[in-house]
Amino acid sequence: MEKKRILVVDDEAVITRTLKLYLEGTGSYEVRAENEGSRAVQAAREFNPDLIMLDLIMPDTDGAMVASELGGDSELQNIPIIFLTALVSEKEVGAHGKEIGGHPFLAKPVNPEKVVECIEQQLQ
Amino acid sequence: MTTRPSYPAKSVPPRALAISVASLAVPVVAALTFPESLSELGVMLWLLALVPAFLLAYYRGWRGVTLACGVGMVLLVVTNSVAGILGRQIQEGPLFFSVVVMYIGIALGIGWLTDRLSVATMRKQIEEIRLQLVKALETMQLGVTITDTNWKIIFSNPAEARNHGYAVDELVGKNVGIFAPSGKLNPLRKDELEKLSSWKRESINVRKDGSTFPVQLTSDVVLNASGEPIGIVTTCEDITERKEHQRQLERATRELRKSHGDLQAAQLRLIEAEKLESVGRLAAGVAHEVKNPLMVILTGVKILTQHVQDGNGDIRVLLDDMTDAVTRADEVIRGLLNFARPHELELVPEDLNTIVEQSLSLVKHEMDKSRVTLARELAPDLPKVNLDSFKIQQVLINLFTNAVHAMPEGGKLTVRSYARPLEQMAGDTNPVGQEDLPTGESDVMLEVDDTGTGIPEDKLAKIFDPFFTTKPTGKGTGLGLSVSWQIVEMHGATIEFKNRDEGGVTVTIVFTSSVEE
Repeated sequence: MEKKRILVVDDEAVITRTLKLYLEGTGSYEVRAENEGSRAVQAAREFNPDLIMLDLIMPDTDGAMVASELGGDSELQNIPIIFLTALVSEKEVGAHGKEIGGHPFLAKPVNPEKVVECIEQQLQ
Repeated sequence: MTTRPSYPAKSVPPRALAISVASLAVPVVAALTFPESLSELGVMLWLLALVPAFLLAYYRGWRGVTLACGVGMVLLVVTNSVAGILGRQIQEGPLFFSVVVMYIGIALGIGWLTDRLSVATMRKQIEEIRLQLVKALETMQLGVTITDTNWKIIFSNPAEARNHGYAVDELVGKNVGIFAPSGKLNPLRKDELEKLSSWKRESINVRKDGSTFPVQLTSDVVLNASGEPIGIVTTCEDITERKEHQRQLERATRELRKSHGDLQAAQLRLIEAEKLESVGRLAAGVAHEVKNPLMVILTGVKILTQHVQDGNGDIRVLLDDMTDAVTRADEVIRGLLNFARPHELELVPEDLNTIVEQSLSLVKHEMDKSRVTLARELAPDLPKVNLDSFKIQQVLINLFTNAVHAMPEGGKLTVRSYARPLEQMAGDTNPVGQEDLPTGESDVMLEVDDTGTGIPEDKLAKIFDPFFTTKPTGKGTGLGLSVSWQIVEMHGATIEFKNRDEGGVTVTIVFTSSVEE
């Protein structure tokens, strides 16, 4: 079975390293980590992932902006995105369910099993 | 019998007295010195004798005249006797007596005349004063009533009569009790009467047509020259305006006190809210820093789980415990982050009962587990309240969960909702005040009772403090109530905890209903 490609964007190397270790440990995924939000779009073009995990709050940029940039790119707009974020607004949870701007989000710290669940859901 | 007033006798000035003596003495001395010219001197004597008569009549009235005559007579007799001893006689026989009689007559005439003149002058003066007094009483706006010691009206000025809707002559002779609401006035005892001095009181007086008005009364006893009470004088002031001002002042003071109280309460809430907000801000700052490491640990634990041999049960348990620990830490952070929320509430008119039911359904499992029975006393047709249903649900779940945890061996949870109409401010009959009170508003009350252990009195004041908890370590973060408190405050409502007499706690939340006219 071909491994799905996941691009994980988070400014903290520890997060991306650990997540990569877990996801690749399941045997189903090939993970590329990107720690500079401003380079996320470029990394997507190079890596051509099946799914992108985006942190929302990053020092150099904002996950939502990256998402809209990706949405604007004809090649990249169809790649599913999951937001993974430490700060969550309850209002958004209440109003839209577990979504931000149409993309699902997971609130850190999230059980990595749940991450996988969500990934699989999105890849469908 | 009318007594003719005798004008007060003035004391005789020394000069007048000197003139009197001189006018009597001069001719006497002259007569004795110049006996030859006695007859002329004799006439002069009589004429000059009139002077003291006149003066004394002027000063001493009838008494003065009598005195003058007496003195004159004595002098005459003495002079005559002395002259006789010296071999001379001023007058002889019948002529002497007729002159004496004439003298008396003239003196008496002068006396009577001056007396009448003085009386007339005095009468005129008295009359003038009397007119002034009457005029004053008739002009003044203050009501004045003079009564006898049994409160029977002798005199009433026009103002008094007018204020009460009577004519002056209707009042004379009546008991002043007709002005009193009870219709009568208790007669005063003698000792009370004697001590009656500036007896002030407020009362409500009744007019002829039955209408009433507030008055300020002041009574004084009137004493005669011997100090005996002969009457009572009472002033009666219409204080309707003053009472109105008083009422307004009282209301203003009440409102001021209330707003002062409200302000103080608001200040306290603000301080509390600020404290909580700084906790929230702090939390927001650290949340990101904490959540990432937690994420790393959680993921790490899961990775380790993948690599652990299945047979090693202890390690698996440890890894599960570590997962739980991370979850717990996360909950604390979540709770803290609630304080960082910008103060946005989505307020919508809601039926509180619906939210109550929703919250109850979410804690049903917990209740069943602890064998807690539920009693609902939810009023139908509850007025709608502006609520953020999600946040209020949070509050209710918090309260219900706390209640259930307070009854680990089972018990009864009662949820009660009802409307309580706002009370009008007492004594506010003035229509001017009505615009301050919107009509038709009522408070919506929610009460949650449990039959648990209750909260120790010394801890009651602290229950809303962040991190305060009565639960053993590991069970509950103590954030629930402080968040609930904040949510309730943001709705402009109040929440209060009290221990019940029958044991357990009752929580009361008071919302103001939205007025949709």
